[in-house]
Amino acid sequence: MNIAQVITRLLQLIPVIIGVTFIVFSLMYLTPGDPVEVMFGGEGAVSEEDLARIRRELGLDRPFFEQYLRFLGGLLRGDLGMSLVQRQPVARLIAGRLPATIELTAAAILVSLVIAIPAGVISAVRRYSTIDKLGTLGTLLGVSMPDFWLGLVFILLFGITWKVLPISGRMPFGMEPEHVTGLFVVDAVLTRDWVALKTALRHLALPAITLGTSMAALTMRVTRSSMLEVVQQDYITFARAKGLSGTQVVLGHALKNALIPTVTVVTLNIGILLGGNMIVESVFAWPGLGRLVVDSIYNRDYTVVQAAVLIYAITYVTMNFLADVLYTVLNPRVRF
Amino acid sequence: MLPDTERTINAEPILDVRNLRTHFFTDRGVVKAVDGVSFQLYPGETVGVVGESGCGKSMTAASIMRLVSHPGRIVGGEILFMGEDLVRKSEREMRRLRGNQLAMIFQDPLTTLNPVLKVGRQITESIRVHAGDDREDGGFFGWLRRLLDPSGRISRKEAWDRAVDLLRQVGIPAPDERMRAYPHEMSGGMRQRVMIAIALACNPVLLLADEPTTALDVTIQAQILELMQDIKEKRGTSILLITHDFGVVSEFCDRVIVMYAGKIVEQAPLDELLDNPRHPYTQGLLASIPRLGDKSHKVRPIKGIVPELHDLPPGCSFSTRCPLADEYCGRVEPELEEIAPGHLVACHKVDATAAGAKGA
Ligand SMILES: Nc1ncnc2c1ncn2[C@@H]1O[C@H](COP(=O)(O)OP(=O)(O)OP(=O)(O)O)[C@@H](O)[C@H]1O
Ligand SMILES: [Mg+2]
Repeated sequence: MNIAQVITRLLQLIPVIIGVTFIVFSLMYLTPGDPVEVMFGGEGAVSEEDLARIRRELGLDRPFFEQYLRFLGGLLRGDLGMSLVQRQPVARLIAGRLPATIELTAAAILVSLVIAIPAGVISAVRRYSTIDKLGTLGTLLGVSMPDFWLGLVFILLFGITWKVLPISGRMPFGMEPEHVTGLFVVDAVLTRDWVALKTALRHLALPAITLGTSMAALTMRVTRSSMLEVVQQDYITFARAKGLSGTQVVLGHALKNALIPTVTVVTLNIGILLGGNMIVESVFAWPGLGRLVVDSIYNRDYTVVQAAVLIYAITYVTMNFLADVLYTVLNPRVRF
Repeated sequence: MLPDTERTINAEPILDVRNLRTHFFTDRGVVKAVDGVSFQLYPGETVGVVGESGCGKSMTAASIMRLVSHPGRIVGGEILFMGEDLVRKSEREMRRLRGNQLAMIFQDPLTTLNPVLKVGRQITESIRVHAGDDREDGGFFGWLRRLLDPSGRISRKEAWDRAVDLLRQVGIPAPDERMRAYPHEMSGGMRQRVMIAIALACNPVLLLADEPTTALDVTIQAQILELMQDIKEKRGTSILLITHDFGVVSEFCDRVIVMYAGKIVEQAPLDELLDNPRHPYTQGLLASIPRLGDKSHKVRPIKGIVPELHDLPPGCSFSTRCPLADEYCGRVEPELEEIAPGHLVACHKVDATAAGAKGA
C-alpha cells in the first residue's frame, strides 16, 4: 500500500467521524434530563427565570441543528464544552485522565502479548500436548472469568493476604515523577527517577495483569488457530524440505503469516482499551478515562459523557483504520 | 539423455527403496498410503512415477524426505540413499540432507513459496542454511547460535550473489530485480523456476519432483520440462518425477513406475512400458489418454474408482476394477515379478495381457 492509498483511506474517515458526532449529539439531545438543573442542583435554589436565562446563554433554547453546528464548531477548536459538575473545560478533564489510561492500556497489551503469542504458537505447534491442553484450559478460564472478579481475587491475594503489591491508584500523592508526558513510567525513566519508576510499575502490575490476562485469552485463541492453519500450508513443508529446523520454520516462515489475524485483533483491542476500562479502573481506583466516565454518569455530567463517547468512537474508528493499514503491510498479497 | 543399460546395471543405485510402508493412523482406520514399495534409482537417471490421484505417489516422495506428518508414519522398510538408510537417521541428520544432497519441488509454486517473504530471502536462506552445517554443535548455545545466525561461513552478500546466479541459471530475466519481488508478483512459470532454483541451491544429488508442471499451462509446462532436462544434462542430477501425465513421462523419463493403491503394479524402461504394458491397470491408463488428431482412437477410461485405502479388497487391489479378474485375483495378492529384463509386473493374468497389449 502506498502513501496515496493511505491518505485516501484517511480522508474516507472524515464522513464517518462526522456521522459519529451527529449520532452522539442526537443521543445526548434526546436523553431526558435537563443539564441546567444538573448544574444548579436541587429545586428551589435558583429561580425559574434564572434557569431560563442560563439556558438562553448556553444556547440550549436554540433549534437542534443550530446547537449541533455549534457543537461541531467547538470540536474543531478543540472545545468539548464545560463540565456541568466540575465547572472545568471537558477537554482539560479528559487530558488529565488520558495518560493513566494510555499507560494501563500499553501495560495490559504487553502482558497479554507476552502470554498469548508464545502460548498460542506452542500450543499450535505441539497440538494435543500437555502445553496445548493447559493453554486451552487457561483460555477457557480467562474468557469466562469476569474482569472485576479476577481483579478482586488479585487484590485479595497480592494486596491483602500477601501484601506484596499496592491495590489502588497510580502513585501515592507527592511521589509523581516530574511531568514530561504524563505517563509515569516514561517520565520516571526520562528523569531517572528510579524510585518513582518502581512505585509506578508496582501500581501498574495488578490492573495490567487483570486486563492483560483476559485479553490474552482471546489473542491466544486467534494465534493458535491461525498458526494451526499456517503449519499445514505447502510452504511450511517446503521450508522444512530446505533443511530448516523446526524452530527456524516456525519463527522464520510460519509466525509472520500466523500473526496477521492476531495483529488485527490486538489493534482493535487497543481501540477498546484506550477508552478506559470502566470496570478495572473502578476496581483498582485507577484515575483514568473509564473512571471519569463512570463518575460522570453518576453525576449526570452530560457534557463529559458526551465527549467521552465521542472519543471512544473516534479511537475505535482510527484503530480500525490502523488495523487495515497494518494488515496490508504484513500481507503483501492484499492491495486496497 | 538415456543412460545406457550397461551403466544402469553396473552402477550403485543412488536411491534404493526397499519394502517401504507409510501408513496413516486415522479415526477411520489405518490408511496404507504406501504399502511395500521397492525400487531403485541410478545416478543420472530419471524415473517417472504415475498413477491415479491418491495412489501414494506424493507420500512415497514425502517418506524419502522424511516429511510425512501426523497422523502418518513410516512403519517399515528401508530407504538407502547413497548407501545410508534414511529411515534410521535422526531428525538432525535428515536436516543436513534436506535441501542439500536431497531436494524436492512441489506442484503448485504459488502455495509452496511463502507469500509474505520476498523471493530473494527464500533463496538465500536455502543457500545459507547448509553453509553452517559443519559447525553444528549440540546443546542450547549451539541451537541458539544457529537460530540467530543460520550460517557462519557465508555472508549475506555472498548468498545474495549466488542466489542471483541461480535465478539466471534457471532462466529468469533481470534476476536482481526479481529477488526483491514477492511470489504473487510473478507468473506461474517464473514461480516454478524460483522453486527449482531453491531446490538446486546446494546442488542436490537427487531431486524429487512432485508434479512440477501440473499447475502450469501447456506452453509453460514445456519450458519447465526443458529447464529440467537442461539441469539433468548439465548437473547429472537423478530425478524422481511424479506425474499424472504420460506425455511428460514419455518425453522425460528413462524408466516408469506405475502405482496403484499404495503399491507398485508395474515398472519398466520407458519404451518397453509404452510398447508392451502388461498390467491391466497400466493398459487402462494408457487407453484412457486422448490422442491428438487420431479420431479412430477411442478414449476408454478405467471403470470404477480407486478403492478406499483403509478398506482394500483382499488379494489384488485392482481386482475390483479389472476386466480380467477372477475369483483367484480377489483372494491372493500377486507378487511383483520380472517378466523381461527390467520389466516387473504384479499380476496373475500377465500371460493373458501380452496379446491384448496393443490396440485391444
Ligand atoms: N493427512 C492424511 N491423513 C490421512 N490420510 C492421508 C493423509 N495424507 C494422505 N493420506 C492418504 O494417503 C494416500 C496417498 O496420498 P498421496 O498424496 O501420496 O497421493 P498421490 O498419489 O500423490 O495423489 P495426487 O495425485 O492426488 O497427488 C491418499 O489416498 C490419502 O488418503
Ligand atoms: Mg500428490
